[in-house]
Amino acid sequence: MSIEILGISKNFGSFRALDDVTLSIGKGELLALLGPSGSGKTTLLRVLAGLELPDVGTVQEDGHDLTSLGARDRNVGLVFQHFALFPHLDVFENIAFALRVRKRPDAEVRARVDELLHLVQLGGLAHRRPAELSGGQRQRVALARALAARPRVLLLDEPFSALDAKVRHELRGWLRRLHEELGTTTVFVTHDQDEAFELADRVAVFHRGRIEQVGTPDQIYDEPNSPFVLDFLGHVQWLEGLGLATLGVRHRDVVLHAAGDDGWPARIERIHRTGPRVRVDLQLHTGQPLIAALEPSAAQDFAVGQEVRAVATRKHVFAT
Amino acid sequence: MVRILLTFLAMAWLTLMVLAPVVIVLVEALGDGVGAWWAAVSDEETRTSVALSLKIAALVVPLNAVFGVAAAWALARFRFPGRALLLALLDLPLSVSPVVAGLVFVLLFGAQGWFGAWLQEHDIQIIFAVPGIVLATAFVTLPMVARELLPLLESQGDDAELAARTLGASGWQVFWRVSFPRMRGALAYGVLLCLARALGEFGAVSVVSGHIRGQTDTLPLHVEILHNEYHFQAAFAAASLLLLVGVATLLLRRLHTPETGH
Repeated sequence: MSIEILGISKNFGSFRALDDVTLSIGKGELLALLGPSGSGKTTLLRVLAGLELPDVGTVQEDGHDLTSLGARDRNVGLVFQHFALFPHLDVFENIAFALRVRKRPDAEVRARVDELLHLVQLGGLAHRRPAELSGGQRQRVALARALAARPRVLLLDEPFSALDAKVRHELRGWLRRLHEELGTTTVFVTHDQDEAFELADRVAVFHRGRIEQVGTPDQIYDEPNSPFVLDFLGHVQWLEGLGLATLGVRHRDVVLHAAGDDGWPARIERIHRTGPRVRVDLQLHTGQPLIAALEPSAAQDFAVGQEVRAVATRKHVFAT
Repeated sequence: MVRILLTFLAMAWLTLMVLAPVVIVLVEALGDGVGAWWAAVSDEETRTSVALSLKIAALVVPLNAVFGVAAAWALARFRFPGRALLLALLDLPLSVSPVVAGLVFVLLFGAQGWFGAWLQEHDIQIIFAVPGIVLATAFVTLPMVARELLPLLESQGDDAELAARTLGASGWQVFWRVSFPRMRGALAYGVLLCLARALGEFGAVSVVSGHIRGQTDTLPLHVEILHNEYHFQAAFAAASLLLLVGVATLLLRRLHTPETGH
């Protein structure tokens, strides 16, 4: 189902959580709402789930207005940040919940829950309580529970933030495959750009209740349309003193030459290894700092204290 | 050294103030043998007073349980105008002297009270009758269930309930399938505390009861009457019943520690 979000605003007291947000979500799409905390992305997710009523604006699904429809009648699957499993029910009954409240016959419930247990690879744990599961297992129960009534949209609020790094990576790949298998329109909220870029077909970047930019991961990474987006994606150095423009250079777009006339003259202050790359801290002759993230092989030739030329292979210029 | 001293102090004080009275009640009650204890307990007037106390508890406890669940729910889940006032009012019965509580009902419903004339016209007896005792007991025990549930509900948060809604549950389904099962332990303990207090309340009941033998004498009032008439063994025997209720309450809590979140 395609979803149209049209001019949604929402205030909490004097805090403007959403400010005239318009966004369309395609059928079968996997969309990420990316932004820092307090930027409005979770509020938009709750509006989509029917848990918050917007002050202004509408949510439409294939032309039907859903705005005033409550959470109960929307048939969306929502996975909470901390999963919100029912602690007094076992895994089977947690997943069966949406079918039980719809008073479906027992045989149908059993068949559907078994199917979902298989899908999320928890077949042997049907009669465990949530407290007896690991974080990753709880996450998968929450997902199966949300999928049980075949929701038209799946909504995930920071789905991996409560998990440790290794499990997080495994589950990301698994969720991507699951989405391809089911084709359910899916919207997830995250503050982690890697997660958004790895999983999503499209990413909407939020800033102070507004959508700053929407596009594919490539579009957003290569053509950030504002200083905020470039800065939020990180590993960027801002350079001033260029008249009316703001100039941003990503660390990985800086190349060093031992000699020559290209680029800015600079002095190497510090060299240290950070994971797959080597980080070189530079001081330009103008006094401004600059960071270069080099391949280890490219960094071999340089030493602390050396005078070099720093060349930006790519610059992001924003009018101010 | 400090640890030993403090531990000793605490133990000594508890022994003197708590354990000793308990032992004395039991010794006095059973001093003349189990037969004498049973004779005192099964005495006609003692039995009527026990029956009255049980009847009042049976009326008051369900009332306060329903109110307690509703109040704790509303206070934990919603922010509404007057919420702070409701929270303060909820504590009032615990902070005000029970005697004052009893007097308030006398002032309202007594022969000289605000509604006294109207009640007499319609031949309704509240003060010095069972309805007055029910009211006074209900007032004193009002917060006990709500106070037990409120911290639990606040620590649980409302995520599970919101999840249930998105899964298609109606308001009643959310309550019976998600909220109620999760508060069952705390609710049971709140009800027990409420029950123990309803059976044992003295001050407020004493003011409104009128001490009519065989009619408005609850068990605690009966203990006092027996004692005042120098029936010490019988007084202690009746008191031992109240003690039993208290000990049973504590034992049941031990058996069932309420769920405190995830």
